[in-house]
Amino acid sequence: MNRRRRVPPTLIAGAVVVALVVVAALVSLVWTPFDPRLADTASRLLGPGVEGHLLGTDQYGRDLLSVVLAGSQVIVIVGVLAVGIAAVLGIPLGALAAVRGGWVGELVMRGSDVMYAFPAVLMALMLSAAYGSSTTTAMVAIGIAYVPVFARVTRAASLQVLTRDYVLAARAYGRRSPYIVVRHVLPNISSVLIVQATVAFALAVLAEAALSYLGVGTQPPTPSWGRMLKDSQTFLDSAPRLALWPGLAIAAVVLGLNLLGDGLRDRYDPHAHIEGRP
Amino acid sequence: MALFVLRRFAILIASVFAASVLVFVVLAALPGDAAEVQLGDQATPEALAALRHELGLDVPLVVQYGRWMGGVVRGDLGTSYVSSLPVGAQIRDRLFVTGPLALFGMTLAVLIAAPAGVYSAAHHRRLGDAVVSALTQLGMAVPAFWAGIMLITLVSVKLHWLPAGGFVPWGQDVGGALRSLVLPAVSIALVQGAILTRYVRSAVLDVLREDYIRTARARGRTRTGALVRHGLRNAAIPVVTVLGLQLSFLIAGAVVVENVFFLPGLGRMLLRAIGDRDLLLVQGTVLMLTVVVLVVNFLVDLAYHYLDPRLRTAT
Amino acid sequence: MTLLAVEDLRVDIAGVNAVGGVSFTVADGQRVGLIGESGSGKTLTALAVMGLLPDAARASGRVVYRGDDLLTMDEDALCRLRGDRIAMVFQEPMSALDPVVRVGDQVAEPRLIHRGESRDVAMRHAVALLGRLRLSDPVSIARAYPHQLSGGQRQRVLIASALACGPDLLLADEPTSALDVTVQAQVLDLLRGAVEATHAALLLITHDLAVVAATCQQVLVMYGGRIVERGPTRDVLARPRHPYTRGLVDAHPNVVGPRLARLPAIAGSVPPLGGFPDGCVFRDRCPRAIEQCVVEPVLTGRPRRRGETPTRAVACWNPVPDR
Repeated sequence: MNRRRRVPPTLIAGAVVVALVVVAALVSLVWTPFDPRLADTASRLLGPGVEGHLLGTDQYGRDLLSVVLAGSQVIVIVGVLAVGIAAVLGIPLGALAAVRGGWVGELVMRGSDVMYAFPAVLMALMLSAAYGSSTTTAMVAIGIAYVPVFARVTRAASLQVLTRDYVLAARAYGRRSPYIVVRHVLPNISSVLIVQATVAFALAVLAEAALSYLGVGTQPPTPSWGRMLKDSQTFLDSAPRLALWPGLAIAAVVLGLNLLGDGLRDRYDPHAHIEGRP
Repeated sequence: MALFVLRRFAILIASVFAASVLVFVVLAALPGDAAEVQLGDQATPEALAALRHELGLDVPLVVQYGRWMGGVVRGDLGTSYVSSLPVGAQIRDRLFVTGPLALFGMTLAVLIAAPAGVYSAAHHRRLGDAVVSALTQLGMAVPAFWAGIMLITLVSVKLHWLPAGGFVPWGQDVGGALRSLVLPAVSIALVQGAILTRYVRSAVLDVLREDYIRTARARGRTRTGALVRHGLRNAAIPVVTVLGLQLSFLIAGAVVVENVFFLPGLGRMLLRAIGDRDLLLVQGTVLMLTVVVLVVNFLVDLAYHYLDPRLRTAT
Repeated sequence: MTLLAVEDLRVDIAGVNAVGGVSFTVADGQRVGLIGESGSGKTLTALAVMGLLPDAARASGRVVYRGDDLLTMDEDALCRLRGDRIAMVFQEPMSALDPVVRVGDQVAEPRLIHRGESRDVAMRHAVALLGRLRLSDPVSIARAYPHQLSGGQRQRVLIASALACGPDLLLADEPTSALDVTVQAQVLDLLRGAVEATHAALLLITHDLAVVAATCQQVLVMYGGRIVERGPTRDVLARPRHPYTRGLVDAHPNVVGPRLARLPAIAGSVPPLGGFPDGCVFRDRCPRAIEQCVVEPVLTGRPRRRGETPTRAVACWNPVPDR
């Protein structure tokens, strides 16, 4: 029986949310309702709907909606680049461990076990201590922290593929390992890797927000949801909305990415081993 | 079995050393000169050289590492260049805040996840499961520190039930200390609880599909009876492993949440140390945290092999 | 005395019919074999009797045990029967036993549930039972975990846990199929002996003719979710009337006897669920199919005396003639 598998609703919902975020990031590069960096002390802490500010203004007089929209840029950049770093380093490592096996494989696995003891936040704190705080250190740190995840998943998935008949046939023809990996293994594990990438992206967003909140991530004047949350803490009694909207934005992005990942997994490979997602 | 424990222990020691090398490389080997940082741009070369010698920076990196780790193994994490206080003592003092916080948070998370996960699995494909799944999706998407901020807004600012921050020392008032940890622990537990619930649900669902559940029912057990007597113990095995793996996330969460609630723990100290460029303190703290994670994972590994009788005898 | 009367049992899985209108009876102490290949619906029939069908399955018809219809019984009442009056032995002893519970506790479990015995008392019964099933050193076996035992030992443990409360009816689903041939014979022997000693009835499900020949007084032949032939074992196997039964018997190699040039096989293969033809389920593969076979045949037989239920029956329009 060859039923066409339905596209899961989680996939659609997640894709929509992610698309909205990307659109917001791109659009905010050229236009936002007000200038997100323009402080206007005359308009401090205005309520929602006042003077055309849909969500009100913050303590510097900046339009809340505009700042939130602009904050999506950092999210997208950090997410893409951090996941990129992790994938570029982790996937070859994992493939190497799978193909070589033996002590090389053991070394990679033990190494990733050690790296698991360094969560992204801790790694970023270390790098900031050494190199100062910036979006770049945050990004690099998060990327490095997720290398073991990609290595493990690639290794596990590759090991499954490497026992398949078409790989054995390729070897019988005399194909060397690098060719087999590129031509046969990677295309077949790509769905698992893509799902893992969405999970990593979601975790990267959370990590970047936490780091910016602590002050060791994105620095002013670049708008960042995490830092907005930090600044909002002194106004919790008078204007809790300053803490509400950036937080909702973070939650919405992460939720969208998680749904997207779930949907992709349901659609393409329900039994895949995904790290970090039950 | 003894051989297995020894092997794992040897791997633990090797991992601790590997972690220490990583920490040292990032914090001591690569960045600029600690002496320059202390004395500033205007320092004379002689002053710099003198300070470098005093700080032990004029010897090869490997020797520096050896000195540092030699001290660590003996329990001496060094003395901070910046504050002149012993690193070990500072860490130990802060542990009395971060430790209980992490423990509290993890306990709450497990207390949420165990019943929620089992309930969700028992109501698979029905409304109960859908509701729990939706809640866990939300729980996983929310940053722990934002949950903390929102909790402060609601519970402290609006309702005045609990303090918005600060910590009452244990020695002064145990009740007060616990009250200061409630909101931070809940913030951590909301996120970790959501993640753990999903793991518990998945483990229970897997177990429910097993043949021995059907055999138990064939002996006369009710569905619930079979689940409780045979399912839970089997489901606990993969969940225990996950607890160990989640520990590093929990610690990261505690580090951030401490800063939301101004708790005098390792998290706030770490942040201050970064601001002060007190690298030795950062080194010691990060090493301590990673060692805790590695040791706990080692213990979880042993526990897992003990819980599953198939592994007990096989090794 | 009729212990179990199955009347027109139908089981559908996810809308597809897997068991269609099966009827048979099992008398007190009688040993009945249910023969069929995989996909014939025999396991589902047994599970329907136990009330342990998978969630996706729906059963209809009547399954009458001592006057009560098990299909309409509420779950609590069924739980009281299961393991006590009606018990089942499953096929894969490794996966059917809880890996983290000692074997003795699993054998003792029914007595804990139904007799309210303390763990010590129930354990003593369990050890005694394991001994009667000829497990040497039953005390050590009782303390062991399933993975520490051999396949034959595990299957005996499963049988023991099914017999713990001395049930009236024992359903055994391929109890020896997962075992080595030499062990099979031993375990079957034990099973038959245990059932005879307690005067329990046995419904033995298997695909192996030799197993049925050795153990059962009556045999039911199942194909495509229907019973196609029924009768005393010796009679059915020596003089099969349904073409399918004939095919099964012919395909069974004789270890002694004349060498055959080719082993006769039944043409075609068992269709997947939902792929059986209308009318007689076997007609696509049947060498004796006639036009009439597009209508589903009914299981009929000639009674020996007036008014009696015929012991021998076949569901075929063109049965194999008596020789």
